[in-house]
Amino acid sequence: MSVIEQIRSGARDGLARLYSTYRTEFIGWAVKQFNCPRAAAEDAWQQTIVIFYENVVSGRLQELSSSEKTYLFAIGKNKLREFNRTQMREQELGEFDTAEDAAPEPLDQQMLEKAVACLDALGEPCRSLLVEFYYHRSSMDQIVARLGYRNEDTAKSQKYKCLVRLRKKFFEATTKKTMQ
Amino acid sequence: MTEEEDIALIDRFIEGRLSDAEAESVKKRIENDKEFASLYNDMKYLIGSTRVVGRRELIDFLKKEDAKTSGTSVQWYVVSGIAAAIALVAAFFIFRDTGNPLVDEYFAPYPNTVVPVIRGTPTDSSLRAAALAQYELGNYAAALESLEQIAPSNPDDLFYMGISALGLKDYSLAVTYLKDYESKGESFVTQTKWYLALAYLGADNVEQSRSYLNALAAEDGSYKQQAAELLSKIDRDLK
Repeated sequence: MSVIEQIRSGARDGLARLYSTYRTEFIGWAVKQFNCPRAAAEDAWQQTIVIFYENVVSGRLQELSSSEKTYLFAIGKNKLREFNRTQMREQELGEFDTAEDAAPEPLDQQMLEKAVACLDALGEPCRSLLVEFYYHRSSMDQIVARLGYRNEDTAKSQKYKCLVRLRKKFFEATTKKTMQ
Repeated sequence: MTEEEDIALIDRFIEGRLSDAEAESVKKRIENDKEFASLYNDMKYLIGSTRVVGRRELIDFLKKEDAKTSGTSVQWYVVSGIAAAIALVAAFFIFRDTGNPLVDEYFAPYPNTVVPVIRGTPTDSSLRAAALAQYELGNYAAALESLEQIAPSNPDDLFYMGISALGLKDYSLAVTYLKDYESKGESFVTQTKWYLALAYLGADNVEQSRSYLNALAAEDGSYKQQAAELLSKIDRDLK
């Protein structure tokens, strides 16, 4: 089974193998080619693997036309170029910027941070259910198997309830912010 | 439409899974229906938050898996048999803070045999020569930094990077480089087993360390005697 098929089936072991297999080589190459600090190369490698994963689960990547390594290094190169551009603007390499990927239009970073805090505070199993559905793009039957719901209808209804709870928390958090 | 149906519609809109006509209709509702626009605006942030948390968890997962394969995991002590488990857990608590003193006792850097036969661009060669000069002086941090700049143009660099990391007592990094060398290099196969045994021992992974030492003790190489001796000392410490 290819790593893409493994990821689609919900297994993440293949991804971990990819991460470990090329990590040292990528970091050495990045430090040499882009003259970047080791920590930045490590960040770039983590982001590369995450982007690969997201491309697979979103269906943007169906199969590889090149080797795994070539594909990953191409993504990594772009991340390193971003790093260099950021350095040129004399800005710090901050937290993983998700704004442009998270929605068709840019998100306000402070509002996004509020939403993340609300999701973290939501508790289980709601938090995992929403992350499985929206981030890992797990199907309802995968969610049933992973989180132990009775059936797909129960999981679907629970997902809606969790989202309503999260929205309520988000509303409270953002209203509070506005009032301050 | 119920709110649940609206959410499902917005899900598909954000994911780009609507037809052009359906997407156009959603855009019009966002423009004209305040309640729907508010729901859409919130959904962007709520879905965005799942991505931030999902990525964070995925990176944590990758780091943990990497630590396992690099030998820094402590899961090695989960073995069958209560007596073995107790002995290994005891060893874990003895060694976890300071590394294993046996590593210091047995660690000696492998001589630099690379520079005289080096091939490559003049820049790489001079960098490698400078790095290995630092290595010979025991300046492992400087050696490692320079070798990281030229790696992985020559797999032998990984071998010396691993030993430099061992010299710096960064055992998990040593395992990473030496395992990488093990899969790619050909010049120092037996030597790599020895240094991996030391790196795993330093990283508290006694099981992996023993595995390499057993292999060396079974061979008729130059590490046979040392490996057997170290094995017996590890067994002694575990008792």
